Amino acid sequence: MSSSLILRSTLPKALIKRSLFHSSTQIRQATSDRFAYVAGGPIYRGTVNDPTTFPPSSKTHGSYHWAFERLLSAALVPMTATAFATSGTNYPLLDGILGLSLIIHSHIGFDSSVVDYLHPRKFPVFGPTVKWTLRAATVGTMVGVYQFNTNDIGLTELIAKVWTA
Amino acid sequence: MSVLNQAARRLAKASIIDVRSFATSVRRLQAEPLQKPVLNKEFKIYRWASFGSPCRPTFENPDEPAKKPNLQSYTIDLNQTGPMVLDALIKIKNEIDPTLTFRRSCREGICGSCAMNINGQNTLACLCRIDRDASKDSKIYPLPHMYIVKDLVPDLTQFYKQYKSIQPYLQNDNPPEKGEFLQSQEDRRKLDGLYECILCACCSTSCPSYWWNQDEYLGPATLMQAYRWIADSRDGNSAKRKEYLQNELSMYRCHTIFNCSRTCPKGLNPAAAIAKIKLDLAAD
Amino acid sequence: MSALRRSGLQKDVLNLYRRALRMVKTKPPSTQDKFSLYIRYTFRTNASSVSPRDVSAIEHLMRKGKRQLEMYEHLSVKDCWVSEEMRSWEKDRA
Repeated sequence: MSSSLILRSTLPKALIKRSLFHSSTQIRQATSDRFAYVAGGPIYRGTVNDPTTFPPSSKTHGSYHWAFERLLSAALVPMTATAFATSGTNYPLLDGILGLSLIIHSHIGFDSSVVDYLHPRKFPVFGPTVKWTLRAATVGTMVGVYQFNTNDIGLTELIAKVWTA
Repeated sequence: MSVLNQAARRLAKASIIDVRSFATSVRRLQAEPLQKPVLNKEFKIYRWASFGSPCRPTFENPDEPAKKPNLQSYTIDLNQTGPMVLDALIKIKNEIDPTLTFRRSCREGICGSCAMNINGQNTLACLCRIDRDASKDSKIYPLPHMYIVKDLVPDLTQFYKQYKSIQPYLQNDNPPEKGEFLQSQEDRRKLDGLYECILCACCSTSCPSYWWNQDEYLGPATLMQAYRWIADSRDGNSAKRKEYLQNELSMYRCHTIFNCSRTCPKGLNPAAAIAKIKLDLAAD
Repeated sequence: MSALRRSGLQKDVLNLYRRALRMVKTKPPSTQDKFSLYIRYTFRTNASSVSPRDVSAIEHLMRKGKRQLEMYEHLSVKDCWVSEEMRSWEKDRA
């Protein structure tokens, strides 16, 4: 809402022009031409008697995503427990799965907050930028953990060492 | 003899009672009007007077949308007021400031009009007791994160539009040949805790997800009603109803924060209803 | 169109004003003057009383105005009431 306030105001245009969100304001102004829906803004779509509309439905974004997220979180509990019980050096596969699950788990978490706060409908440029940055970071972390697990001591061993140190 | 005795005793008793009640009423008549100690409590109430239609300028409350909202404080005697916050508001409106604006109707928690934020908690003013501690002031705001029409009146247009979008009515292409839709007791029991919702919007406006994504996320109140129709054994459209919610915004912005269940003035549990929709969708 | 680019909000307000003036045309000829006066008075007085920087106040008025306009656009609305203030305001302008 506050973003729409800034974007719609008469004043800080010069300021916005110089800022990062240049092209995003362009889009916003283009939409506000046709009187006058801004996401989260003060004007609603349609008359007061029209119901709101739903985004196109997609199970990948809906129930599959949710179920996967919950199963993964649930699976992390026994995985962490086994990692404590056994040694990662003896079971490198387990170590690898744990590392991968942790990364995906945190990716889903971060992605969820990006959808919450920086959704493309409100931030047409910044939102996707952050989303792709997050994806790149996740892939980078995956590569890093793979390297670490294959060439170095591995996650579980590292934590055990830090624990005793 | 004994019968006579009993009758006499009864008569005597009656007369005693009579005398007593007479005595008390006389005493009450003669006594000074009951003097309760004065218990002044301060209420700080959010005011934003931008209304006042140009064709009917209100008396002391001109149209001033440019004025910023402020907290106005009123002090009233709790011993001359009813027990609920709504009583205090009505007293203030009647006796101190007629321009104070708020919605109210039933004053018994069934209409959902007087939903507001009292001491940081969304609740119905008619169900919220006034804290008798006069040393602390009581702060009253409108429902958070809503556009304000005036003072304590929020603009619920979006909320109602969303409620309309879930089609909150029975849809069934195969009505029974004669008579009404029948339902087993177990099926009826599934609706308990759902149908009682009065759509006061306390839960939706307490939900951080609803604050940030109000235009797309339906909010707990609407989602609970969506589940009320999905769970109804008489409704034939639940597949469609579920399909509408299959996207990342309409329902899955619920992060089980539980503010909704904690604030609900009717003691319902919207978070549980949403969790059940999620399970239903995952099982599909 | 002036050389100055208008902001989104300014365009919204102008769009609303235009739509309101168009609404006047759909009303019975005998009451069109009243509708027109009512709309011009409302927009002009608000435009002069609210600072152009006060975005939230303008947005509030837009919201309110849009809902009012939706009501006035209804075909069953055939007349509206204008106050003495509006009449005198019009005289002052003439």
